[in-house]
Amino acid sequence: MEEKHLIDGIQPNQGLIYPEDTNELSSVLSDITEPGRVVVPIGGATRLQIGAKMPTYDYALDLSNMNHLLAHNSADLTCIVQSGITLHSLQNQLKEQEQFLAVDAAFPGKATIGGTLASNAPGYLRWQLAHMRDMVIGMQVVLPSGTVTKSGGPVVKNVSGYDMARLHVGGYGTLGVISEISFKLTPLPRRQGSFLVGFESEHELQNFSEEIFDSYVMPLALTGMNENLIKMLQIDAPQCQYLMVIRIGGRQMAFDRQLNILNKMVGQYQDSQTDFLEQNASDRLWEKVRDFKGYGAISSITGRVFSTPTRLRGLLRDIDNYVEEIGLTLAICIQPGFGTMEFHIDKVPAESEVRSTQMIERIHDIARQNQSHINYETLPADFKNGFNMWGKVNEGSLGIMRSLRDTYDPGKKLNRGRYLTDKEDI
Amino acid sequence: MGQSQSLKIKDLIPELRKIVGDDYVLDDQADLLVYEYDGSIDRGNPVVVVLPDTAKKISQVLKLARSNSIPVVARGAGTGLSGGAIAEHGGIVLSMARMNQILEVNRSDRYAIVEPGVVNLDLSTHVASEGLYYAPDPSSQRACTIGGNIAENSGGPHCLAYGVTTNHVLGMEVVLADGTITWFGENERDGIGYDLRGITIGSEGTLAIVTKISVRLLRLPEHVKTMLMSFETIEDASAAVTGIIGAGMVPAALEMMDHFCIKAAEGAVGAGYPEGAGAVLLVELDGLLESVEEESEEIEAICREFSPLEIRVATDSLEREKLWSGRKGVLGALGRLAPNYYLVDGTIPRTKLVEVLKKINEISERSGYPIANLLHAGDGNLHPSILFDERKPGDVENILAIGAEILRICVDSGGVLSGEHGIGLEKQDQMPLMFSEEDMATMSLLKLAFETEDLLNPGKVFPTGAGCGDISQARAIARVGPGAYI
Repeated sequence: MEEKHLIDGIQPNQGLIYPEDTNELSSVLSDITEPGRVVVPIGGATRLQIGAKMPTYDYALDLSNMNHLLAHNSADLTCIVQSGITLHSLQNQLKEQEQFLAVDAAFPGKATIGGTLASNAPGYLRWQLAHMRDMVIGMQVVLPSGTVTKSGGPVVKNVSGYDMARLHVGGYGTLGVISEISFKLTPLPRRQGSFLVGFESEHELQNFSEEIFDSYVMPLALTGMNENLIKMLQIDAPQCQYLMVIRIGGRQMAFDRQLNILNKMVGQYQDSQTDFLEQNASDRLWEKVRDFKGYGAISSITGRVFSTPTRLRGLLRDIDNYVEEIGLTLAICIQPGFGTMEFHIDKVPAESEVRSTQMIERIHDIARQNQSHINYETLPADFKNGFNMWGKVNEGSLGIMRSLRDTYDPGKKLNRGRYLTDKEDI
Repeated sequence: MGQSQSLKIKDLIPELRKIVGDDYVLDDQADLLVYEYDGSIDRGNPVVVVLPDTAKKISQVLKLARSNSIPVVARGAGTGLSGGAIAEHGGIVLSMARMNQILEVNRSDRYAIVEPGVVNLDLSTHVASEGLYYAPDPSSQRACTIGGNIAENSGGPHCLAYGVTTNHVLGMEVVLADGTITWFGENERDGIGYDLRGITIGSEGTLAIVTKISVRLLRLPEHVKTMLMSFETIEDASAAVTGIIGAGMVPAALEMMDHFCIKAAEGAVGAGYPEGAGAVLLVELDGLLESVEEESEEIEAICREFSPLEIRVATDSLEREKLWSGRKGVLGALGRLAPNYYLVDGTIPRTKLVEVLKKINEISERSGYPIANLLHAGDGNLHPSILFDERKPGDVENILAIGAEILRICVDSGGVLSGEHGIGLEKQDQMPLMFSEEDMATMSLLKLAFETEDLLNPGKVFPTGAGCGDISQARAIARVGPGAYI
């Protein structure tokens, strides 16, 4: 038994299955016919902590042997992969043709592309390059019954039948198991680097972000972090309360012009300090930011906020004030242009479970007051009982979601009881 | 739809008038004629057309339709060209023409909330003074509506760099078949739960009726450069496209037109295209001034490898608009060459352009029907337009067969049946070229998860003929539960 197959401390009671290809995956699923059996598809196990706690599960369906780049048509800027390939392996192979997939996620050496898509993992390459779901142009999925289905195809524009792949990105493997994906690719920028600006207030950070939003700078990625996160990640940055990291890329002249614009804009902030990192140092910094959840203690809490750029302002301030008030440490990583934020509350004392449950519910309330949504991604396993990590989905949508689940997995074979719920399956 | 159901709908007309008002229910034959087709081949008359102005009224109409088992087809501007908005089974057409308001523009968060009947171009025009625009720009953008764009997941020349409709919709208010009004997504760029927004876009009005849309707005670029490159042959132009994409360049737009299109466009709008050329490429770059200049130099160098007859750069916005006027007006202009055209909409891998266009040319020569080739070449989306005369006996049957043959070539080359116009009625029987029965049954189940009665735009997307037993069976099982004898 590998540790990676433990979910909230629970191991599969029937065993591990490692399919080598789609046919084997199909056979495995069609052979599990006993009612009530629960199968959990697992990629790199980097995001298995997300979701409600299962009382038990039967089979770990480990897709890590389905790890091949099946086709890379570089002249078409497309590729087809098996879902168990790691992000690191895929990007390395694409890099040989000076291309990349505009999808990033924490721990790319372990994280598989299937798991990244299924769990809608947060990433930072979204300012200019959009959401990871927009990179998917085709998908093969094995249904809980073992039926192999596909939608889309290896072309970049397609309205032929329903765009079924959409259901599986962020579907946490509850409607089927992703087996192969076609992606559109992006040429690697000829030059990349990161511009760092330190601010003394959150207000300045947000203002600067808005100015970038209004300028002609097109960052590949942009994130802001508070002092606690800077310390946690041990980032060698200008002394400041808040740090903004702006990753830019492009051809030489366009790259230089973007740097000039940024330097000019930052000149209006008298106390701000700047730094510039060339590609290698920039890459190392972004690796830390990307993997920041790995720096926390086991007893930590991480949450993910979905909002709009302007609503994030009030939300960030309110959460920060509240956590400080109760004497805990809040580290934040904000993507102001995209309207998302991740936060990390470290070393939550185990003896104060009641207080902590109240705390996570209170943060939920703060999000609702700011017309935003929170999905808790990491909670100590004990906190999960009786608390819905997912936040609230509107009733009209939830009705359709239940109907989809009943339609495609009527026996609730896949990931039963983990998705969008804290009680029974949706 | 049988005569009895037609009579039943007529009985409901007073109730429909109560819901939407006397002036907004059309049942006169002359009025209904306007709604019988979408510019393509297929035709079908609704029994009644209803023009609601709120989601609440749509909800009431759907509840009434559901309780009487009457099909409902939502319709925007009717520019889809695949028969998606045609009421093949009679029933009610729900015209969104009155729901045409831009409800909110949020400049700080870069989104707008619009009603589905807003004309695509009107939104970009409305927000231009804020330095913003809405990126998807179908060629019919002066007429087509954003609700219709959602049904077809429409693209447009600039979707090469900026993506199609689904990449620009944040959330939607919808009315479900049972009359429930809800939102799929909101104004955020990400969220939790199944992506109901994403699955509804491109579903051709078969899953829900969209009543409000939150769309992403983009900053107008600092600099735009439009170039017209003419080539002696369409093969040279195609090879240039493959060269550009293969070099890792993704212009904002990369369009191609052959000699038929050049002739038609010149005759109609005088766009300044060289009439002697075998094909022209319209290339547009936008972004930072430096970026545009660097990339345009590289693109010019690639194109020079294929001996262009001319490379012309638009020197000002007027000239740029003139070059685009030819491209955007070319479909209408084909009427100068023949009484009718049949537009085929397939997508292929971009590396197969030369090979596939050669085969299309062979079909044209063999069949004797001229085929005007208009392409969103950068993303491999072909629009071969077969010129014919519907008054000539046999022409319609012949061009439909040619269209099917072209689509088969697209699929055989690794491509798909539709790039941006959808399957509708036109291509439903070709779905098996691309998809297995299991694939189609799985898709068909999706509709059942949204509504079991199959009243929203029924009879579209999926094949209707023999060989679809699995789909019918899947639907039947879903209705009555597993284990039922079908």
